[in-house]
Amino acid sequence: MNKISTYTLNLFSAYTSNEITDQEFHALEQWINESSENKHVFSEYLHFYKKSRRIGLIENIDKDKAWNNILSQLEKPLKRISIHKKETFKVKYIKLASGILKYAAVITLFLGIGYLYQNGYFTSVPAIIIPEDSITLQLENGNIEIIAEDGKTKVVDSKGNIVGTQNGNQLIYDNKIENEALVYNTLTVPYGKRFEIQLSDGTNVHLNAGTSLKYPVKFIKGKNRQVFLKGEAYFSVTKDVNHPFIVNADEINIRVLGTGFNVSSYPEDQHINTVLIEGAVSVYNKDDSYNPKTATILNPGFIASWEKGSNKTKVEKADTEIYTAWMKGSLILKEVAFNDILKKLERQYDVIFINNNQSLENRYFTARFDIEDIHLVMENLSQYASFSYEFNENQIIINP
Amino acid sequence: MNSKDLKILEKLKAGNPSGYKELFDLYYMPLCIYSLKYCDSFTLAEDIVQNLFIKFWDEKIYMKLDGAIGPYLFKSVKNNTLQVIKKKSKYYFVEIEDQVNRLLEDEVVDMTIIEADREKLYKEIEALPIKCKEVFKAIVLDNLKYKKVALKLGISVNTVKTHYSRALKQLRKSLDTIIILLLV
Repeated sequence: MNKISTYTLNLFSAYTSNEITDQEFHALEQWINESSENKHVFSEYLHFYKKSRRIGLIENIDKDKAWNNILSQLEKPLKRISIHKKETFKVKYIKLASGILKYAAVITLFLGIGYLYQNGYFTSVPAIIIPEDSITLQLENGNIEIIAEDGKTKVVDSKGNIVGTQNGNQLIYDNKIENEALVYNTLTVPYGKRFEIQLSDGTNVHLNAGTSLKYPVKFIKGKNRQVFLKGEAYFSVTKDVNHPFIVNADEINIRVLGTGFNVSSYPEDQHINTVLIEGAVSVYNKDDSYNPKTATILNPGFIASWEKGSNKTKVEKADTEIYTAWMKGSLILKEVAFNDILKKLERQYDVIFINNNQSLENRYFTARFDIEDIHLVMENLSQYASFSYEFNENQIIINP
Repeated sequence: MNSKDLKILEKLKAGNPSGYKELFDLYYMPLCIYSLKYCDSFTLAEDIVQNLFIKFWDEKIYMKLDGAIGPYLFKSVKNNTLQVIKKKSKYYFVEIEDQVNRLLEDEVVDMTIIEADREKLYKEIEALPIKCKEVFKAIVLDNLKYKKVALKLGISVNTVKTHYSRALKQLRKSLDTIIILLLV
């Protein structure tokens, strides 16, 4: 049964490759009909061919391309949308499941190492390779621990005391530990993730993507409560009139007694923005000591925008929802320059933009995204601002 | 798969478009594979499936469905594919194709089987003589026509055919092809 002439084999090939002539087809048909065994053999070849073709197809399919192709051809755009037109700008409201919190990562701390060190298990520092997309915690001795996925873990200090407990995407520091000296931990959240931390005084801090916060494991009695922020965070500060809470953000200090406010201080941004939700805060140059007469006092519902370099502060009324929407995974943009939008998207979705469309740089946009998928965000934005784009892994290339 | 269908349907009916992307992620590949069985063309298979997805959204097909989406999608892909190839299926053994396709039916949504096949196939391909290997890969896996393969490898079309036949013969046993019981 396995004896097949080269000629017949060539007919099989011609058939399966769709390059068969009339004459060849009839010759093959004749051969197949000669015996049921021949039919068997042919079927077997065909079966094999089809299975191999499947494999070829899978290797050839570019799912991202297919998805973009589908999106570009939809007559009804992929969104639930209502457009309000105002004279100066348009509001584009895209309401999708605010599902980000669910995906915001369930996280664990691997903190045993610090404990092992001081017990002498390790004599030299092993090289730990830290993936760029992990949330990390730098301990007082300089060791960097990865806060990995799932479960609960404890943060242990150099004496072996448990100072904090991590549960999912929240890290809570204990208030009971007695500490005479200031000991700092630094939590770093990469692009595309968010994290929540409760400091030893009960102050709650939400950290946005691309942010790091340095804070004492335990605040010392009789001293200011000072933390250091790079990036964006929302602070809900526990009231303690005897111990002012001070956030150092780049060039400025923000001083409060007890209140809720948002600070955005990314190194690449021109302004350091402080938005007050409740209570009272004052903003002043970090090189000055606090003076209630010279510091800028902020009232609830207002934003203080500090221009780096010039040290000028502008205070104006603000729509506070815009500045705190990130905690729910939303992105609200009101008259925001295109380049700033790209920066925000880079942080929130952990992507990199390459903009080959200069005409967009001078344009301002107003939009709201409650969306968990960067593909949908890009689809909407590109239609709205009329540009084309392509994905290349986590790069997004914008073209005219 | 059905519980996923239900969740997706719920989202779609509630007007939440994220269900649409989930539907795509779940079914795009299996549907393309399913269409390929009938049309044997990578581009045609993808076109047919993409058009179905577009129609599914634009015409709100999901509003008419209850419980499962998969059966509707697979049935539509099959119908649409057969409709297209009818026009150009002059050289087509209908009965044998049907039998072989039926053998492939159950595997279509189980990507793990295909992955396992892939590993086996590649192992065997590596054992082929170099030209044979290149020709087989070009035709079956990269979807190139004889002429293109000849041009690419700098050999004649006839030589391509010879290599291809040889590869088929040698590789045939590498995947578990089932001997088909013929209905005479």
